[in-house]
Amino acid sequence: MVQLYLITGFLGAGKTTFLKNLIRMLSSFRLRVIVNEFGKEGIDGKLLAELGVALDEINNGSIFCSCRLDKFEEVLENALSDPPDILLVEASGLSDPTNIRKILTTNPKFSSIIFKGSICLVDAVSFPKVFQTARVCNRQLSVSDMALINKTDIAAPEQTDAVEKLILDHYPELVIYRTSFGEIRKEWLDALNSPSREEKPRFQTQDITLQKATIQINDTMTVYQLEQFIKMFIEDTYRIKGFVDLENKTWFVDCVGSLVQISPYSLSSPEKCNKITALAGQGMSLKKSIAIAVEWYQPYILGVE
Amino acid sequence: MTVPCICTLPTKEDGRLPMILKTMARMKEAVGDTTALYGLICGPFTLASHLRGNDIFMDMYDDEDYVNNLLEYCTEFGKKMSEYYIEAGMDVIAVVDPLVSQVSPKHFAEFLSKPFTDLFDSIRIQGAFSSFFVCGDATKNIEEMCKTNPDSVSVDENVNIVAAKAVTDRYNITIGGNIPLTSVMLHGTQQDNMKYVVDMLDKIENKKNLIVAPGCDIPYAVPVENNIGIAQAVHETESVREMLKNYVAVQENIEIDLPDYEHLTKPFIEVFTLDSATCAACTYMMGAADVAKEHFGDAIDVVEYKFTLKENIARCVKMGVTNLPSIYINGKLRFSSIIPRREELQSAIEELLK
Repeated sequence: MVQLYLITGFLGAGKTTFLKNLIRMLSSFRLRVIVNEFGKEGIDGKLLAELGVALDEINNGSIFCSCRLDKFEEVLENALSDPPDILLVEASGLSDPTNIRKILTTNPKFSSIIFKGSICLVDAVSFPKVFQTARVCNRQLSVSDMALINKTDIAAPEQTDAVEKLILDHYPELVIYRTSFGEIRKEWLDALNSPSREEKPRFQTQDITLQKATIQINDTMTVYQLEQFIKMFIEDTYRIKGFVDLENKTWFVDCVGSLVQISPYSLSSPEKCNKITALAGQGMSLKKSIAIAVEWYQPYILGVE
Repeated sequence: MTVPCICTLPTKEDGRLPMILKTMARMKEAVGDTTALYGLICGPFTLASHLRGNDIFMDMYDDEDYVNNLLEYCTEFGKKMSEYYIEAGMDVIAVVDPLVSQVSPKHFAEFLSKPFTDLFDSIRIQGAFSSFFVCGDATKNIEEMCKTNPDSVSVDENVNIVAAKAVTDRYNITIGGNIPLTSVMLHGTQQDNMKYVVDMLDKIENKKNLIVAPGCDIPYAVPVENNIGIAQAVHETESVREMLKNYVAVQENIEIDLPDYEHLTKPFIEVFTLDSATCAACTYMMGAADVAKEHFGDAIDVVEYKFTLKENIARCVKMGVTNLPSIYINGKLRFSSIIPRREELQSAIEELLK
């Protein structure tokens, strides 16, 4: 079995620096690194040679673009033919990492890979601005299990506080650490690896500021349409849950972050209801996004409350 | 921050333009009468991000004037490139701007509406068509994209084309797309590709203003026959639907007698086609075999098996023929999808006559 960590974060947040630190920390394992180079500084070839780490670089486009997925799959397959203990995948700053979770969970070729977690690097100084303009920041956070607020050495304490608050307003359950120079502590990685990650207590206290919307689905909708419908507003939620009866089967909708998960449900649902509930942090524009999505899928949506 | 000067706009001699324009002229001459040609240019927003780097996302927050000025320059760049491509014979200018799927509709309206509208207007004035090509999940921006008045919009597999077409139909804009590149085109069989197109066409009620296309650049390793299958499914949808139905049906009861290939009296050329009457590649493949027949006369036997007939499907299954069109000689696959040159086929046959 191969363990895989995904490192994501906007351009310039410090992914490459962090990756080097992570490689040093994990150097007792057999490592392989997959990198999607878009930025200026590449991984230090010398460092990799020193530690005996194999490297694959994917160029000319973001790994997770539709037209490059074949290259990523090819590299992944190659990596598995001589399996390392740990695979580190660094996603280019503009890439949408939700596709990687999809590839790993749906393609049987990769069933021997254990997805350990996604770590998102956040730039303490520029994050609030790029978060407003680049939609991918949202998706990167939403698919992550840990966020590292980096460059706290050059940011004012209020700036770092503001970034942490901004992230929590959108993802109240996300584990956040503060760091500089892309440093990672062993305890953080251990926490990521621990099998039981309990619901954070702060989730309960922030209850009152959470947004909630319940959507009634018409049973004539297909699963594909439901998936595409959810994709239109999922970025403005951190959780979507519900049971639906579509295409003569029962399905369990359980979406966390930007990951759409609709799976067949074998037990009979508690009641015949086609309802999904979306939860959002106070900072998200949930109602607006749902309204646009409803416009696109009008005949299939019976109501929103 | 400075914006590049207008004097840096390209001439036809700059960079790789001479090679590109020469290639365009060749294509125009070769297939211009039957095939529309798309000339692809880098869209203004993506170009701006290449020039400015990732800081452009900060600039959109901090220095809007700079972003607007840079976009203006990039739009002029796009107009110049379009001018050269149209002159070289391109029918459609595809403005490829993947970064558009990275910003919100609000930011699109704020920064990008004007540049793109400007660019598409200029393409229209020059008498060519335009296509707004955005890779990635552009769903949220489709409506804003339509408002910039392109003649068409091209989407990739991330977008639900049926739902998106409802939006483009309202603006009377053509939509192109969106066959999945890896799962269907690269890894799928010819049948998988034909089925995908038939299913897609069935889901789209109003077939006006629709271009069936791959979602984006086709991976290099996509087998040619997959493209051939797709084209046939578009042109002869009902015939292909029948083929697929029969393909499934014959899996159960195959009763075909294959020739005794070991004891043939003369070379036996079997041409497997989708349908040489309607599929271009098949016409050429059959044509090559006919030329050989003319040359060798009674010294060889030639036969065509069209996939439109059930018993031919059964033969394909029994012989393990997976890609059409193809030529088998004495029961062995010799040419698949790529049409053999006259000499190639001739020498393959001559070997057997010895």
